[in-house]
Amino acid sequence: MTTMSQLGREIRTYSLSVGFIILVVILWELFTTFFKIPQYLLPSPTATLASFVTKWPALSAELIYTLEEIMVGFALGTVVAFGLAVIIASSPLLPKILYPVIVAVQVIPKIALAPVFLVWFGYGEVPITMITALICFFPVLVNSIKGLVTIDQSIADLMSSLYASRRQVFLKVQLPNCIPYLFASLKVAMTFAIIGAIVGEWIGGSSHGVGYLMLVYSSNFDTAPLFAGILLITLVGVILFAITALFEKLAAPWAQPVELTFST
Amino acid sequence: MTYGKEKKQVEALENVGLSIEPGEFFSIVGPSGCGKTTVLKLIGGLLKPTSGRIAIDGRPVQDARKNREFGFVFQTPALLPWRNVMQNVLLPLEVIGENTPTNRKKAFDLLDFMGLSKFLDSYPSALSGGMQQRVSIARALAFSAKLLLMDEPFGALDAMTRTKMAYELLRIWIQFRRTVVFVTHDIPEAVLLSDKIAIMSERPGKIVETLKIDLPRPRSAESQNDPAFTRHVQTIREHFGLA
Repeated sequence: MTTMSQLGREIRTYSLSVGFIILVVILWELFTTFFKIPQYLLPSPTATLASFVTKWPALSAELIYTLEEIMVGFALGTVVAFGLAVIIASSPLLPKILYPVIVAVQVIPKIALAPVFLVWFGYGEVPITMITALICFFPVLVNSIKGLVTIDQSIADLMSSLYASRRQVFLKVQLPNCIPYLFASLKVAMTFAIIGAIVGEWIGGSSHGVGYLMLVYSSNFDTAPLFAGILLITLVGVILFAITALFEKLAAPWAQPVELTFST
Repeated sequence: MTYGKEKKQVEALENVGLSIEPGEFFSIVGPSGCGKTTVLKLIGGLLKPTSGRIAIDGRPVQDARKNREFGFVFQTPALLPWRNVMQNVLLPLEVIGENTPTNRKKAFDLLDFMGLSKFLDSYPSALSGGMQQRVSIARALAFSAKLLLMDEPFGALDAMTRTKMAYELLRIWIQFRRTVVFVTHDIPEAVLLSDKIAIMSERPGKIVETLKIDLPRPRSAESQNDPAFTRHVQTIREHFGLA
């Protein structure tokens, strides 16, 4: 339960963080004007903001493509990962065999597989969505397996003493036990999905998306719009993360934060 | 090792012979790591003995487990964190398929008797250790289990809460009269609660002696002033070289 004084303390901490960000932006503005930094090297915050407004039609048109890649890739990667986790965790032996393998696979930077996806799926949105799905896949798989099999020994003994069926153990213990792990990994997957979509657009040879637009701006030394693109994709990231976090709060109000296993 | 009406003695662990009567409060006392918990898990059918035989009313323990005759209370409360107090207590009834309105009413009355009726909607994380363990005891009593198996249920509590819980258990036991097998390393606690105490030696676990505790019932905190109480505590302490 959050008491008023705790809430007050949280608000104070948050306002300090926000204040710090504002301070950095002001310093950045002063730095660029005072030292007369050319705009193609580092646009000032006001120039970035102005560009954000003027380029909004182009940015928002391309955002639709990027959002679609993010959402479809995220949905595909996480649903397949969770389904596979359920299958693996329903066997007593499979997690023991596969978990170390899956953890080891974490070492591979999944984004490095992107060129392979171009070979398999051609150019355009399909390989980009698949890359996004792939990098969402692993954190959800690993942590869902963990959540499904990491059952308190006494609770396992309790269910066993009640002669509970495997189905009952799954539905009443394993599945709810997994929810905090699942949502924690979904938050990670959501941030990964954005990376996947943007990087995918950079290498995917797609002629759509915010990432593609950023490449165009970059090659023209159109740095202020480029920064506007970064700002847009950051805002998208914050909003999508917040939505996932909100779902987490709703789905698992009892939950304590869980420790995650993941890598890009 | 036998339990029930039959009195055949069969060994488990190394030389563990126990005979527990129906309705009895039976404690197993011994130092840490002597295998007390193992004995309890063997009785409850959570472990299978490599040799020897355990019987509940003359039948194999696995039959009794399938019949849901065991109510376990562990050292940790082992509550499901995503279920509130009432839902935790109803878990065994759900698993057994006896989550009927009558049984839910019984569960409510039980929680009321144990002073938990104000916390029905609370999640375990909002309760103190002592309260959590109360819920765990209520869960073991909420269904038709004949045998209550308690594995150092107060072991993780602070000394004051622990003593209070022992008094509370006396009150509960008088009300519900289940056969109890209670594992502890706290000698006065065992003497206060039990009809019989099995004294276990260090590994390999052996039952050295079984003592009858002839303190009159009903017992309460005052029972500790009885000379017989002191005498029994003393006897058991001598067994462990503590006196």
